[in-house]
Amino acid sequence: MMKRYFVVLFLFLFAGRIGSFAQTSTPWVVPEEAKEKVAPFKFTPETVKIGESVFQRTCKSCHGDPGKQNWAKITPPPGDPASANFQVQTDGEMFYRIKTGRAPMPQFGNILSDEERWQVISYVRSFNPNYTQPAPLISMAAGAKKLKLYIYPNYKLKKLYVLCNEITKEKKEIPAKGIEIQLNVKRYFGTLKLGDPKTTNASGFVMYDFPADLPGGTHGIIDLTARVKDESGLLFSSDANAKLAIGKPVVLKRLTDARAMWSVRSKAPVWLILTFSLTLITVWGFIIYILLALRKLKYSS
Amino acid sequence: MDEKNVTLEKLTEDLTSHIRINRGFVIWMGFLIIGLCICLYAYLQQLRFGLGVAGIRDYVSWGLYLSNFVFFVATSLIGMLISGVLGLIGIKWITPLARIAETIAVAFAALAGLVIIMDMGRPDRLANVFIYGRFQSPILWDVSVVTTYFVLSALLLFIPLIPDIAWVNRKTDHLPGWLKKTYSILSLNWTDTPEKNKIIQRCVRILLILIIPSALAIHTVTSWLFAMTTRAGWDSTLFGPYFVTGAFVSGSSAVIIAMYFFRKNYKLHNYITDKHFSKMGILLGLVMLVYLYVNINEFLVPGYKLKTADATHLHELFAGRFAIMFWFVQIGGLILPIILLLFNRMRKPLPMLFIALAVFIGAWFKRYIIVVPTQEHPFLPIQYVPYNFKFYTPTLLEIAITLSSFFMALIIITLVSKFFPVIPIRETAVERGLIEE
Repeated sequence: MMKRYFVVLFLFLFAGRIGSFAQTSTPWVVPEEAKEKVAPFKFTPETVKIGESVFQRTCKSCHGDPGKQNWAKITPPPGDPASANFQVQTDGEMFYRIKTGRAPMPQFGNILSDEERWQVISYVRSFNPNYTQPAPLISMAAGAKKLKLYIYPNYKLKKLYVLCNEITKEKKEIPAKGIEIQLNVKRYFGTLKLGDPKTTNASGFVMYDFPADLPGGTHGIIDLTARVKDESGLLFSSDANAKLAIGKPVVLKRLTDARAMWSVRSKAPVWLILTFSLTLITVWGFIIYILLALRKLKYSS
Repeated sequence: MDEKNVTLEKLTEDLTSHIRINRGFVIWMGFLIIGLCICLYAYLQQLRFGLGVAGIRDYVSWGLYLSNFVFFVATSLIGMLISGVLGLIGIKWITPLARIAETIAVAFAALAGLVIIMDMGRPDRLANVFIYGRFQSPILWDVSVVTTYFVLSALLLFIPLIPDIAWVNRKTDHLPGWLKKTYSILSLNWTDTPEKNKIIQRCVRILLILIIPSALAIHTVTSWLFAMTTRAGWDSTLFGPYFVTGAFVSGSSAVIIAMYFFRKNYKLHNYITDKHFSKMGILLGLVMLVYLYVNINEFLVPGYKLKTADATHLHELFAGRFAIMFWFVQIGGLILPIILLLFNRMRKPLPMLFIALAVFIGAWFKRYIIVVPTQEHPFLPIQYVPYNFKFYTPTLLEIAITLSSFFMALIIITLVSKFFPVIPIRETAVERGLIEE
């Protein structure tokens, strides 16, 4: 018993050492160009509000509530995003770190869209009264494109088409060729990649088969997201979402649905009710027969 | 006395002479009733202040009462063994013992039902067991089968009594009027006609057959109250046979004790002879050997595998908190009596009385050993509870309430045996060729 206690104690201390070692000795390097990246929109109360809901969903379990120092007790400690050592980062550093992650911080590259990441940053910044947002990247750099995505299912052919249009300066949509598109499916936590990214053809389309065996809740509904894969930082687009009934309907059977030994009386197994009742009826039938015989005994002369 | 020369008159005289209200009876009943009243006072305390007056708590919620219940159900099974099994095979020497066994069966089965009510904090909610009982619950099976077995046993005691009651009513003029009146109601206008005899024979035959599966059911279901859980010491497929064979042991010893006192107090030496004691001794030895065999299975098999929970449980029994009681029960109540019963000299009435008493007391503590220790070692550790939650100790009130069941059983047995012939008159007369079948 004592021995086991020491092993646990040792591991605990050792793990603590690794944690502090990692924290102090290997700084989390963010590339220079990523540091300077800025949000493509201005932070407003709306973006803060959306960012808060994203934060609640994906960040709070480890980082706690900003400003309350109530992060999860893990090593290395996640820290409070409202604290000074978080707020000294540039927006670009935050964006990079949320996107790439570093164990035990998860990668949110696939889980959150760029837009959502910026919204989270706008929420975290709302706790810093000294923060002023750098000028957002509103004017488009040379070669930058505004894109728009559409998802079209074809139930007959069991195919999914994603159309990528470029929005020109004249607000016209023309097919965008050669854009890498990643199709994702929403899971309980994060997203599932459906295959590798595909490149749009001359008409701006990429084509996928319906996923054959994805479980999709009671009605087989699958929450799809098409996202532009952009390494250059020059492509601006929102994700396209579509909820389609193309998954396998999953009807979860509860253990108490059927008649069973462990269920309530009204759900007792039929064989049990029959055995119990018939046995009792049989024995008591004989008892009544005997009582009637005694009656006959008394009244027969 | 030469048995052939015993006339019908003499036989009737011998078998009914104890039916009178004498001083010994009054003193004995007075003792029982005073004892019962003291114990009932204890029960009133429990009714008033709740089950907290007993030592049972959250972890050990089945204590003395439940052990006692199992013991009473067990002992009541003897009616089935003597009348049912041995009677149907046609074994003759049980004739004078059958009614004793049936009386014990009725008294103990009736009390088994009452003992359960003693274990209820709200006895007024008893009907809920039937109203809301689940077909899946061994508790519903148990109350059903206990009730059924009690009714069957009572009928099996009563129906062969009918000719005897009429007989006693005719032959005893010295008895008070109310008793004579009771006899005439209970005798159901009996006259010794072939037609009426036939009805009685048919009823008894049906009952003898029915009583065997019912008795097996009553105690198997009682064992399932335990065996249907995964608790160490209870989680056993052998529990049904374990209980049933154990029941024959406690029941046989009860019959031997009763035989001894009836023979002595009611002067039945010519009817309950040394031969009967010897036969009962052999029967007791036999059922104890079977029980010993089941015991070996019950302890050796888990003891060989020693799963964690079983290991804790067995350690508590063999060398822990319950070791003294356990070895007293296993050696004093099982192994030693088996060895003693091998000797002819030990199967005489007086030695048999002491052996039967040891077995009877051992059988009671055996039920305690089965019920209580398991609960002191739940699978999840016991934490943050007062000391008396961890280890069960019966309180004085609880012991008194438990004793009340014995007083009541003795009162029933005393009343039945005092006012009705202990030994079947008609059957004995037929067997001895004094009257025609």
